[in-house]
Amino acid sequence: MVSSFCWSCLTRLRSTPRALLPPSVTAPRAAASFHTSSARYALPTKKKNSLDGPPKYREAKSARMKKKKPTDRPRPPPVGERRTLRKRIVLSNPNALEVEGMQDISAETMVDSRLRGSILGLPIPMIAQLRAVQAFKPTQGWSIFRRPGTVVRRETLELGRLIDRISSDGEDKGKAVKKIVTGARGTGKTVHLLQAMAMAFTKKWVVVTVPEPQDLVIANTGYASLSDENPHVYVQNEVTAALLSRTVSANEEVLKKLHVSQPHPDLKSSIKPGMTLEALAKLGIQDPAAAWSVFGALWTELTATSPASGFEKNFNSRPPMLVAVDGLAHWMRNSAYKSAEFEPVHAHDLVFVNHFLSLLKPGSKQSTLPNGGILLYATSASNSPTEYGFEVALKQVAARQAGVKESSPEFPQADPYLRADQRVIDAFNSPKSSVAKEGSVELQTLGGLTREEARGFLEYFARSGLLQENINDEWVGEKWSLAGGGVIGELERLGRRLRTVA
Amino acid sequence: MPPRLNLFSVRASVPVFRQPSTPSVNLATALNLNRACTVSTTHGLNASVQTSGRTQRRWNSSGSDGKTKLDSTTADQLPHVSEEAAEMAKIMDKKSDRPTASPELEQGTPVQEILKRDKEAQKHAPKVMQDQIKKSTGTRSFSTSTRQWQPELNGQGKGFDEQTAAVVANMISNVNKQAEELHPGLKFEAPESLPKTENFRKRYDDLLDQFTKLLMRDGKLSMAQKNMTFILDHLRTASPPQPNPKRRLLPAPPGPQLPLNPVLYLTLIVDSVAPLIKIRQQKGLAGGGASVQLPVPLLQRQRRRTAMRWIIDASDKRRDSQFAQRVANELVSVAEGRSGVWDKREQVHKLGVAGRSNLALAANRR
Amino acid sequence: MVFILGVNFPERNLKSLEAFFGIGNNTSSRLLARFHIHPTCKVGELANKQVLDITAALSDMKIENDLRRQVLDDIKRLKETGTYRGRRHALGLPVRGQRTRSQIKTAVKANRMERRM
Repeated sequence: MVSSFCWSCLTRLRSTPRALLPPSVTAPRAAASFHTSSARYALPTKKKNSLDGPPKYREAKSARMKKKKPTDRPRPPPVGERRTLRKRIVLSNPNALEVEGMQDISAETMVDSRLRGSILGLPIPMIAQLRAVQAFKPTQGWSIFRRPGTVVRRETLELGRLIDRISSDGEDKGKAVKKIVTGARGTGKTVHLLQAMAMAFTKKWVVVTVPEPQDLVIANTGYASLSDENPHVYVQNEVTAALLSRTVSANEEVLKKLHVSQPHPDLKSSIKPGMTLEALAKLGIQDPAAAWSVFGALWTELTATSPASGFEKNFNSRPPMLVAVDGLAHWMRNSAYKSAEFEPVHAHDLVFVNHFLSLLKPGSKQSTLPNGGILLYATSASNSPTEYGFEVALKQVAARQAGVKESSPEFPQADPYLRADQRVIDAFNSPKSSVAKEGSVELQTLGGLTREEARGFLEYFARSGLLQENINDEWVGEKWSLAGGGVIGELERLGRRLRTVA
Repeated sequence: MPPRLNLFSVRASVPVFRQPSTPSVNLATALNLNRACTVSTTHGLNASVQTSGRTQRRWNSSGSDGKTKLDSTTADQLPHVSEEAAEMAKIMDKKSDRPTASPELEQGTPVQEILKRDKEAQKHAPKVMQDQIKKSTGTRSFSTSTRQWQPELNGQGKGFDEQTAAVVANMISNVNKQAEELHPGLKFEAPESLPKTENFRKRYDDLLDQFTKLLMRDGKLSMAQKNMTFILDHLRTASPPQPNPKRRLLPAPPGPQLPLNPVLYLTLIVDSVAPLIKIRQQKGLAGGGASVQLPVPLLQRQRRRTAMRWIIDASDKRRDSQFAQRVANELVSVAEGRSGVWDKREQVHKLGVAGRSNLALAANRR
Repeated sequence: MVFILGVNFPERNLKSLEAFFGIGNNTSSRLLARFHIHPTCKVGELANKQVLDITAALSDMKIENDLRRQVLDDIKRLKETGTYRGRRHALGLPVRGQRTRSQIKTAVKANRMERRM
């Protein structure tokens, strides 16, 4: 296509630009005059909509395609409906058969090794508490049984005995155990935490949980600098308030019996002497801005071993604590938050995360959980970011547990070319505690069930009327192998799958 | 076929290669020195010396593979032994004491036989062969067994062997007896027929598979399977259907049992609303270009497909946010006889009944 | 309803900042990070102080009409000094040396006497 301009015309343009310019330019003469400010500060003219505007150059002249009419769509569901559907947890199926002779988790059954391989139900009054700490996940298959129940496996019995020993009078009373639970996908890590919570509730412990660590680092809640002294540490008030409300609603009964026993200079104005810990925690729920300092106060109260002077009245000894975190890997990398300089904030700079990770380290003077208790931090295999430093740190924990010296060549080290996050490795590098009752960090790897446990699990399906099958050892062995050696998540899938006999 | 000679083995086996001093010398030279050993039994001593190579060869190899070996070891092709013998006979003419048709023409003669016959030759035979003739007992001074010799076990071993043999024989007879009781031709019990769904390619029920494929949008099968799981779980957990007396499901186990077997429940729902026929519009049967409605019977799979299609279409009018939820609710409402799918079925059947007379037209046409 | 810099925002999330001429994704997220506001925050959830902070920061920036005027002035200057770029602006042709054989619709649309913005 040849340009419609004649080159000579264009060369003439240079000498006489004004002539070619359309007259509508607002201040053509202003440039000639000396003062330009009036022209400069005049508001830019609005575009005219009329057809008789300035001549149009090079506009497309082809016929416009008519736009398609948007088709009628049904009104989108109201805000929040999809979310509630996604998060809904159904714990009962009225159509399933009641399993006869199913026992509940109680102080006796949780240490009874004869029950290994059977299903223990969760007591009905406890379900509200477990719901409050968000122990159930929507992807778990609770909804097809008459009532929720869990398999007693070897690890469950060990945990039950541990909890029993910590809370009963014995040499293990007041022991602090720190465990990181790992394992392949579907091996029951989250359910292991749930069992721990259920047992802790039966023993009247205080249960503090973080069911979704991911929510803390994806920048969906507000954050602020902790204080002016350390501007690079961030506090998340809404999340802390949510943690407080979880803790209060789950442990209401226990917290109501405990009273404030320490001075809290931060919260002097709002704390009255003789206040219960429940009321203390509710302060933080009502005023999220103070949530973090309230949580700090609650934590010092729960870890107090003796009352401070002046607060001796009504002091009850504090119960052991269970701290459960599920899906740890999200805390091992940069969060989605940005600092004021627009740098990413590392998750360990969030004071909430930092508090829970610092529990893994041995306490300076006394144990981190002086009244005893268990830290159970589980990883997730289905929703977990790959973090090389974390992998190395877990290997190091396992090596330390096996007694490998840090100086020995077998001790796993990070590959210097893979940029392991040193902060992550340091977070798990906890030396042996000086306090005898405080254990160092252990790694617990969950695997598949044994065949007997698998049989008990599948019999539970059959007795609930969901599996119409003759359950014998051969059949169970087949399913056990199909489930990757008894991986319980896969067994559940096999149990739900219906076989139609042709 | 008599074996061809392997020259290397000949050299190895004849310790001293003596040049024949008899008239066969020129023969041998005429026949090329290498072939000298092929001279047959014309003369006693020479023959016996030279043919010992051949006997050695015989022992060394089984008859027929001599040819291939020869091909691999020597380059020049020798003529057949019998041919050579014939040639020799011609040259030698009547010198020998044998008839002209020497045994080589029919078959090679083993040296032993010759030695047996010819006492003089036996006297002059090489020491090796004389030894062999003397003691042909067949025992060797060394063992050829791969097992270690265990004389101490010999006494017990016999009893042990007999015992195990008896056990094995017993087992075999048992199996045979069982096999006779079973169908002829089966050695062991026939396997139970596996359920159809145990095949990993057809692990789902037929209807389930069909329904899942119909739920599929944009080729996303795993999404459809997820939806199917949701639907089955919904059927499992939803309260058992209140049967509508007008629109009953097919005969089945009582309602409260249905949710425990959602696949059966789903099959029942789909099969109950599946139409028996479809209506085909056929032009030109009645004449004048008017179309006529003909009822056409459907196969089972076609019937089910139609029913599923109706159910999914009807579910689109529901207001639940999730697709799977809509379909699940529609299925329950079909089970309770509230759904519009039943009307569709009745309508099709009514049209079919009305169009029955048109079938005659179609039959006449043919 | 929250007023930021005299503009009334409905309670949507803070994409709203990008409604100002001269503020895009980068500027807005940096601005939010400066005042510790998380990216999915709704306008209605902002504390009063944060609103004031944002307003103050925005009033320091060259946005909206100031920015428009500056851009137009720049183009005008190019034209009046008789540069090639100015000429291209005036003719509605690509300015930065693109070829004009085809695909110059954007230039046709945008490069006018009074640049549309």
